[in-house]
Amino acid sequence: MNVQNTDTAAEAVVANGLGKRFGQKKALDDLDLRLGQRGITAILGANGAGKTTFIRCVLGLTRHDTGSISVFGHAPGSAAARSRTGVMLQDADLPHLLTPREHLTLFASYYDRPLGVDQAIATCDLTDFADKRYKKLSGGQKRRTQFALSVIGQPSLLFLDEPTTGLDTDARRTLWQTVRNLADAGTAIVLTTHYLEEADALADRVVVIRDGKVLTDASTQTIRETVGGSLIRCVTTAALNSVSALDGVRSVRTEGRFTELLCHDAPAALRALFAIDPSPQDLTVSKPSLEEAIAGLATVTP
Amino acid sequence: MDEPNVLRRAFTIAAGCLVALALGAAIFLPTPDPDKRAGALAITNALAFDGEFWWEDATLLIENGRVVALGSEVGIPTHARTIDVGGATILPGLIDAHVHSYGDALTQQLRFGVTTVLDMFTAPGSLPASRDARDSLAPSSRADRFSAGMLATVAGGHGSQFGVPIEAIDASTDIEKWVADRLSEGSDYIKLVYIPYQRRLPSLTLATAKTLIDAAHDAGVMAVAHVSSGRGAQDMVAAGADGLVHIWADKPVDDAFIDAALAADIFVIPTLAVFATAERSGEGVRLAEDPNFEDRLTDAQAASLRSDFGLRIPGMRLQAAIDNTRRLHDAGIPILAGSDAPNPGTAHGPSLHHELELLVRAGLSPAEALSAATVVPAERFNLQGRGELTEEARADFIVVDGDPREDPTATRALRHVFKNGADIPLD
Amino acid sequence: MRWGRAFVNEAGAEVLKAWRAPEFLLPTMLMPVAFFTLFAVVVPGSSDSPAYLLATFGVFAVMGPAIFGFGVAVANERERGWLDIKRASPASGGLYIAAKLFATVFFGALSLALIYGVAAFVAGVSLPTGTWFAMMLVHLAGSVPFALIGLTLGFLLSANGAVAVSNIVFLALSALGGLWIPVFVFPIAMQRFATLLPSYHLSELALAIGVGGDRPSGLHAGVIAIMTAVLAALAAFAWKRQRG
Repeated sequence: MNVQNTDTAAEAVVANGLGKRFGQKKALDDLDLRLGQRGITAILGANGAGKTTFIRCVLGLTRHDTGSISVFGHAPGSAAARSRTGVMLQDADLPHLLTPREHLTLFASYYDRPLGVDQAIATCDLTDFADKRYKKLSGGQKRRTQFALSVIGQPSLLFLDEPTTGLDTDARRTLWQTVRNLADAGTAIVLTTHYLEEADALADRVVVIRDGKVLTDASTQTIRETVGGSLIRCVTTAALNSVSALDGVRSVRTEGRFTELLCHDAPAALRALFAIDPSPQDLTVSKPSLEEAIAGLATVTP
Repeated sequence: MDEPNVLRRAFTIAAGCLVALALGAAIFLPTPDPDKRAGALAITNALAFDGEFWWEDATLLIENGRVVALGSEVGIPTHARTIDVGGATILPGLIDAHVHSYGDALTQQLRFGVTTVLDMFTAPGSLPASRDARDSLAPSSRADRFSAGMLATVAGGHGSQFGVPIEAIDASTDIEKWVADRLSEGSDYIKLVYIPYQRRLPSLTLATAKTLIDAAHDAGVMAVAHVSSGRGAQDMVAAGADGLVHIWADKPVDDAFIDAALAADIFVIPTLAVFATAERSGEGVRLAEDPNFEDRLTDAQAASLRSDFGLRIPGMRLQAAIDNTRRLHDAGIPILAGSDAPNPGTAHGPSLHHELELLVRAGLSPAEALSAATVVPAERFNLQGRGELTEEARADFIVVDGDPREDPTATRALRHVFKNGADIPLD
Repeated sequence: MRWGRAFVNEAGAEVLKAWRAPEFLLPTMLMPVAFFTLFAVVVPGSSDSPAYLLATFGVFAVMGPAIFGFGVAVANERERGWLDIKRASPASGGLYIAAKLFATVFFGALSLALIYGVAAFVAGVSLPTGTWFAMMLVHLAGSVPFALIGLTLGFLLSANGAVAVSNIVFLALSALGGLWIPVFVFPIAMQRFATLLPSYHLSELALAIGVGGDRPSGLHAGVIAIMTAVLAALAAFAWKRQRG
């Protein structure tokens, strides 16, 4: 296609002020995000945070209400955008009565410069079951087949929605390696995952989406340094400012009547807290979830 | 793309199958034999009746299922096939003006030279298909049919005893709608049962019968009446019926009736064959043993011809029926040949030939009897292109040995039956 | 994307998928010929004209693969997310529909071949070659409006709902459109209703070709064309609606 020359300068994805409502619920709320032509970006967020809606809008599967998106300078869902995009969706199933080889053959025929079917089978490690009907494959084998479909067209931009759910450790590592190779070869990759480990292992950049907005956008390095520790949750009479200055506390936020302290040294923080408020109520100490941990980043001053 | 591609192979096989099916269809699907239908055919060296005139040394030329010409000086095109019938007689395909057709009735009628029947009551479900069939000139092994469909009678009245579902008429029936329903079922005309002057069966009243007749006429179709008595016949003539589908034998036809019938231009289908059965005359058995028919009857036809009502029916004396038919004919009232097959003692096909003989006994000349089974019913029921062999008429005709102008049984010696221009196998 | 190559693969995939599910394929293909044989051959004296039944049962034969092949299959593939993967790929909706239509026409043709075979070699129907092909063309082209009905159902309904509704629509179009029993036999109100159904007009068009009689073939062809356009608009609306 001739347009590719003009595309080369364009960023993979540019989303400006993106908004999408489903009835009363705002799935995307004035979301801005740009993805360059290279690198692996992990998008994190709780279920319902808006990351799947964002990906569907970029793919043209769902129409956004407000704002704009371009994919390599083209409208989402346009033929030019689709021809350069590969996708592995989370809840998508393939027709049961065809084999992985047949699925790959079909998908290869959609693209101008696809990988060879045999090559894709070898790269994605489908050899053992390439000629079995899809219906008979294990969950992991199905995911690997879907992954192979997403890369057969040698896309410039690859979306992987929870790609390793259901894979065993070996298969997961094989897939990671393949993803890294693609990234090294110049493919822009967007990954959503629940596994912090996966983001850590693969991504150069982590974007956290919450309530339809970009909450955090930082390099994996920054995340790695700041995430961890414990979460102290209590009802306290102490002032917020004084609590955030305590020893061992990384950040503080309020959640209803509760105060939440994200700590890198919980015992030190507890001692300091008791010093200024001897009787905090409903106190619990827990390991923060990924979401809580990353949400904590929001209050870190850059 | 050197890898094996199952998808492409599946597509190629499917596309190949489609091509093969199309080719197979072109080669193997049977097409009508052009010799039998499309091609021109000349029947030469015949005595021929065209519905009006008798032609000696005549040639009948047909093409594409229709008559091109009939006469003594017809030129035969070079591409025409020729059949020299050596002096045999060509007659228009016979019309049986009173039958009840179901099962293989139409097939049997055609095997015996009857190319069109007028059905006087049958289940309406089969009417649309027979309409299509009769409009077509495609080869067919069945006689064409026009039909009254469901008949008009009262609950428990005559016609309700055969097990065919009937929308019986009572005082609350919307007669106009009843008639419209028949027409939408495919009825070609309305037949009603009017038998008030006996006590065995209930009957339509004169007023209802008249309403039915008027409704039929308003809807643009004919109304014919089943009667069983002279008074009933007189009532129906007065009520405006187009025809009576039986003669009656309870009393002689009088001058008053004849005057009224002539004024009303009514026709009568005597169905004398049924009177012969009612008298246990044994004529059905004799017909079954006719050497022209004996070997060609199906078991069911033979059994039907040999059956009767199980008793002599007192009010149905054959001679009285014949005498009444003679009076009507002598007075110039049109008589139509109808067998009322498959009543006891009759069978679809043979019994129309029997009726011709009975009509001759009632004073019609053999040629007049042939008109009563061809051109007269065609005119009375407005059957275009039937009952005659004029230009553009349907090529429905029979070839018989002998001269049926002299011998009313000559029609039984069938040599050919042509339907839509195709020669029907007679075995 | 090279359209020819993609179509060959896509159509091949559709044929294979249907071929590998004989439990669905065989009933839809065999039922019409079984019914036809019953009414045109087995029941004695029931048919004055096997050509009449050929015309109507031919419509019946293509309707099954079209309505079920589109209605049930599209609902299934949409519900399972397969359609999303396809729509995110360079394959277009047109390619998907064209390939499914090819498979529908293919299996419809197999089903027709059985009926035409019985009609020609058992029931004794004999027609000029041009008439055979014209009737075949009407029957195969009949796949299109029925496929559009199936497509609309497939876009609007869940997989289970599509099975139920497709069956109802299939039976209603057959019975009320006069494919089993001639429309003439119906009460007036039902006869009027039949004129709203594409199955009725297709069978009348096939009858006009194969049997003749007093049938306005141009009118029926025109009505079918209009109905097909309306059904296409309806399918396009359903497609937009399910995109969200």
